[in-house]
Amino acid sequence: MIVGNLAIFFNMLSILVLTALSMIFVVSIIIKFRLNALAQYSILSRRRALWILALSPWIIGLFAAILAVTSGTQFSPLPNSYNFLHWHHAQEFNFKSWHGLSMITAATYICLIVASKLYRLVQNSQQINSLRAFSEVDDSGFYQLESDAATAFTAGYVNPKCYITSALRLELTTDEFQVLQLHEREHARRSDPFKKWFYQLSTALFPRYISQKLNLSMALVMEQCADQAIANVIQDKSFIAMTLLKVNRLASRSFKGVLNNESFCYYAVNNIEQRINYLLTEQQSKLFSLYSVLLAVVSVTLMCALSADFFHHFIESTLSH
Amino acid sequence: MNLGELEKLVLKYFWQTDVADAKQVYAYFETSRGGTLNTIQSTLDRLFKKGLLKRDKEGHAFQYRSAKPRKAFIGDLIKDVTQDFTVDDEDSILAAFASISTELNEQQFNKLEKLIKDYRAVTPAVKVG
Repeated sequence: MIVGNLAIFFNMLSILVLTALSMIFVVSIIIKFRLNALAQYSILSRRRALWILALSPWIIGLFAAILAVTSGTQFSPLPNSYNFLHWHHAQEFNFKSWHGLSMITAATYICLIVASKLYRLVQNSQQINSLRAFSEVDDSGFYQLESDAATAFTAGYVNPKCYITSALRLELTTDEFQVLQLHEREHARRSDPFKKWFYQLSTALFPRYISQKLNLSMALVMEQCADQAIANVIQDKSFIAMTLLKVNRLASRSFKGVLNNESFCYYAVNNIEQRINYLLTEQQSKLFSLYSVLLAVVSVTLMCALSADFFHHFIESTLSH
Repeated sequence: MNLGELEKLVLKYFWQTDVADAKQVYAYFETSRGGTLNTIQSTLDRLFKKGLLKRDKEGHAFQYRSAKPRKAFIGDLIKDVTQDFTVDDEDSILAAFASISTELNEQQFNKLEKLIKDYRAVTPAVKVG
């Protein structure tokens, strides 16, 4: 048995993991039935909402753990909360208890996920480094790749760079290239490749169907944010949309027969259609109320902390009878 | 595919030179980069095993040449990177102006093109640039 500060740490970790897993369950149900409701909000609000949905289980779990463990002590943010919220034996932790076993199982699983995502990050970085070594920087700062495949993308995690192939560059007029540059530079400025990776990591514990939905929504919002950056400079939205269509058409021809279609065809069709529709129609500007979000986070945290205490009592009394 | 710095340099050398043996490659890099003949030989061997160089034995020495032209090699490298992020879209970690898909057919492109043209017909023209 561990006693003292280390035990407090493990007890907190145990509450955090239990709360986060419960919250993932609740958030998954919300996403399954209500994610489409986000469409009425501005892209900035959608981007924030997607981050909140992905991170809320961990943030709420952390707050709930702090509330439960510090209850009744001088460190508690809620004085006199011990009457309705407390955590027995906060200074004792036994790895052979149900707390210990559930925490070890969850921690092992989380470590495996983090390791696999890190491995993927390193592998992708190495591939991108090789690409960079065989490219040449043009006057605009874009990395030109000598290839017959028409494509352009932003890649890299620490200092992202924009790439374009010679085949695509040859097909674009100066104005079209300007559209593409503004788009890719916005991705680089926002460090979107790293954020995409981090978002995947944050949603990795959600059920696969839900994490897929979240990641695709985030990818679309990131593209729309970059499209918006072009629209802030170039007023003719139909020209931006036409360029987007042209580049997609060229990329589609270049990669015909090379890629596995099954898992992404719907996304690709949907993605371009939504981006073009968003550019050409009256843009949604509805914003989230910050107070509502804060109120929701505080109430859910309190509920989670109380439920953790209740759940703890329930399990302990079941196991000891 | 993971390539070391020297491997990349040697590959670039073979895109400019048709055929060379280890001694010729070593002579080329000796002044600019230093190193030993052994290092060059093992680099050539690794590139051969990775399928990036071809070799034929002539006398006691191997004669090496590039297995793929520069353009084809870079094309494959792009496919590696892009395939990695499109086979399972959820794992996409690049940010791209164009979604790489083969499933958008001409009919779907035409439908989108018509949508844009209809928008242009009812919206006053704006100068680009």
